[in-house]
Amino acid sequence: MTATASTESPDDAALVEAAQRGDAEAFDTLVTRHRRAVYQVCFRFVHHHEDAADLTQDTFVRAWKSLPAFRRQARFGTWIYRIAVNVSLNKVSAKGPRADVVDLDLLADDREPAPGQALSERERDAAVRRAVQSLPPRQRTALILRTYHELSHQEVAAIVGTSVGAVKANVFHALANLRKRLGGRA
Amino acid sequence: MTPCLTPEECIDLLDGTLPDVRAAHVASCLRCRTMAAEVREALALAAAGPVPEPSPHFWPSVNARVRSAIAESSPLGWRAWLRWDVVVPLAGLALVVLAIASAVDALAPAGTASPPRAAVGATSAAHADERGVLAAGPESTTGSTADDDALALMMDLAGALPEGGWDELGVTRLPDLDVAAAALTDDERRALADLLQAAVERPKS
Repeated sequence: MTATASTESPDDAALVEAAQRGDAEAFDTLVTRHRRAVYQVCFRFVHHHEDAADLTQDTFVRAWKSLPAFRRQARFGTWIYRIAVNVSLNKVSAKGPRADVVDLDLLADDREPAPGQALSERERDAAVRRAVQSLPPRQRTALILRTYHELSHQEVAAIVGTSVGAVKANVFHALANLRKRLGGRA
Repeated sequence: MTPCLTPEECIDLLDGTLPDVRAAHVASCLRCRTMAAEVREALALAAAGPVPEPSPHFWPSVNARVRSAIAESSPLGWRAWLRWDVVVPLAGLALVVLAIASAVDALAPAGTASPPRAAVGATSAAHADERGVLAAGPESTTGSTADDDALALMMDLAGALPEGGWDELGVTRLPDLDVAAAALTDDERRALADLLQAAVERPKS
């Protein structure tokens, strides 16, 4: 889904080069191309629209400031993902998870199914979000990028700066912990 | 019997990239099959929650916010200095400088804060006479002699400092008094001499 938004199009490199010369219009085009993917990465970490919007802005501002040091050895999409992950992790580590998600105890099976069915699904989603947020940063990052953004293990490894094997191990342990924290409902 | 799947191999199994040899092990191993099923279920559950799609008006606002933030973070001349991390240290430094200047003025004799250069010698000599440290005489009223006497006073007092005296004064490197004294005005020399004298006479705690 969002992987297409971050895929390097042929002229991303040219836009980066122009932006590095101070061309704000070129950078604006890069923002347009990658804003959805960046927003969705940020949202997966904070699960709050306003926070995700702030982090998206912060990601691109940091990218603009760091452009002179960007050597174009990595794709711009990979680079901007890395910045988004870093600003998101900084945000959640500074503030802690938001308390607007439903407690796992509310997932008990002895509730009326009919009118509460939709609510139950929302609560389940909230419980999953909470469980994902409680994962260690490396596991959470690997799971978010691999599962929700359909990036390859190689791409995730490039973003987080680790090996492919480590990414796979982190995804595995993230899923195992997720299942454990959801009380075996998975 | 082949070993059970590693975590990496379990992810490869979910991705469909596990080699046939290892996949054959899974077919014959209940433990690995159970583990793979549990991880697959957790993956399905984790992938279920979509990211809510923001309003269509949101996306252009991202560009506008980024443009605005970049414009605000660019150099703004003097306004770039209006930050707490810059203003507070500068204000502190200014206070220290003002305090030192005030202390020097307060230690100087009354009416000699900014004397004309021609009167400095007489003033210094008079101050020396009042202290009874320097010998009074006709020649002591000349500026150069007073300067020499003040310098001699400082040298004497410095020599009289006990072991570790410079450390007690907060001086970590012994200064070159000739150079230092040449850079001071008469009032500053006098103030320094007073400070040295006070340090020598201060009882040890």
